[in-house]
Amino acid sequence: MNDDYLWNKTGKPDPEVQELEEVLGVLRYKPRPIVLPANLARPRRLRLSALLAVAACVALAFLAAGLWFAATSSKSSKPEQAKQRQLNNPSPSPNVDNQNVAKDQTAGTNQETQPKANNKPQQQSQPVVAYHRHRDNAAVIAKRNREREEALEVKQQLLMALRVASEKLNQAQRKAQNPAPPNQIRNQHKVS
Amino acid sequence: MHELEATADFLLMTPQPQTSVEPETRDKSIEVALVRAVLDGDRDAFGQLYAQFAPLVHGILLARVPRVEVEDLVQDIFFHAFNKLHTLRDWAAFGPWIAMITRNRAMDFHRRSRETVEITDDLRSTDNDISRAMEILEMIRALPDAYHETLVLRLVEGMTGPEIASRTGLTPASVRVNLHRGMKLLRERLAIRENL
Repeated sequence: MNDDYLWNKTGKPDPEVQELEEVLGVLRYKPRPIVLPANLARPRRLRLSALLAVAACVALAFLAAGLWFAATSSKSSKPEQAKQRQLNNPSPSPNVDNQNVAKDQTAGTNQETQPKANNKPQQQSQPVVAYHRHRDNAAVIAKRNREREEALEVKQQLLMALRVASEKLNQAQRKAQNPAPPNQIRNQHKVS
Repeated sequence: MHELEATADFLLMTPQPQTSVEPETRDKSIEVALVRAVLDGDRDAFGQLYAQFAPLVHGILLARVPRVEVEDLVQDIFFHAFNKLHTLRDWAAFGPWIAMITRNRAMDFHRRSRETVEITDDLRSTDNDISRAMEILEMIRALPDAYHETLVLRLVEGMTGPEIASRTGLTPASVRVNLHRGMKLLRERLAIRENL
């Protein structure tokens, strides 16, 4: 038995294989030209624009997620930061009061000699501090509201951009996957 | 001066370093070029792909479905391949890709219409040569799956082992094993039939 003949038709021919080739040769493929129908749309490569659209959408989604995360984290961390600030730097009124108390204690001995001299600044500082505190709080609240509104606007813009991008991506995918045949007749009605 | 001439003679006599391009690699590059051309809208290139791979598709079908159905199925498979060509990622793997489409289509065919097939096959094979060929083909079809496709491609379509390997994507070693084992089994069955 000659293996080479069976493998690549070289060497001494194997009579049995040759006979089989002859007999089975009648079933061999007979070349016939292929005729592609005219309305068969040509296959399209995956377009670069579609790939770019996908990449842009992914990038936009990441950007949106990042901004949203940043907005929410800053919103949640601002009250905490304010609390932290208050803990680190207690409000000026107790300081002033403490200072006044200390001053009172130190000046206790001189109270008789100068009884009204120490009371005047104490009475004046309290409304000023309260005014400043009130003004600070109002400014902080206003700032926070402004930031929240801005964040909401940004969020809405991003959502809109995402919607537009996803719609464009869908269109691109639809075009890439189902290219419309050029000669297709739409709304064809049956003629009796 | 003489030295220079001698060197020139020596250079002329020295065989040029031949860039030995494997036939398989050359086939693959042609395949890639044809697929690219088809994707760029060249329909003639698809005709060339068809001419190159139709025997492969024909052989795979012949090993699985009735002969009368094969011609139409070959055309159908190439139309399908034309429509789906953009999904082919590795352009050099057109052969294995279309071979897989063909195997799937043959399975679909059996799932849909089994009964019609066998009767038509018997009715059409009236010619002596063809009936003998069909008998042997039936014996090949009865062999295990791994062998019948390779044997049909070798004995019916006349492809060599390396060609079968390169077009189906199988390794040459496995094609060689399938050919030899399949041939051995076929010889045994032919001997049994002749003894009867």
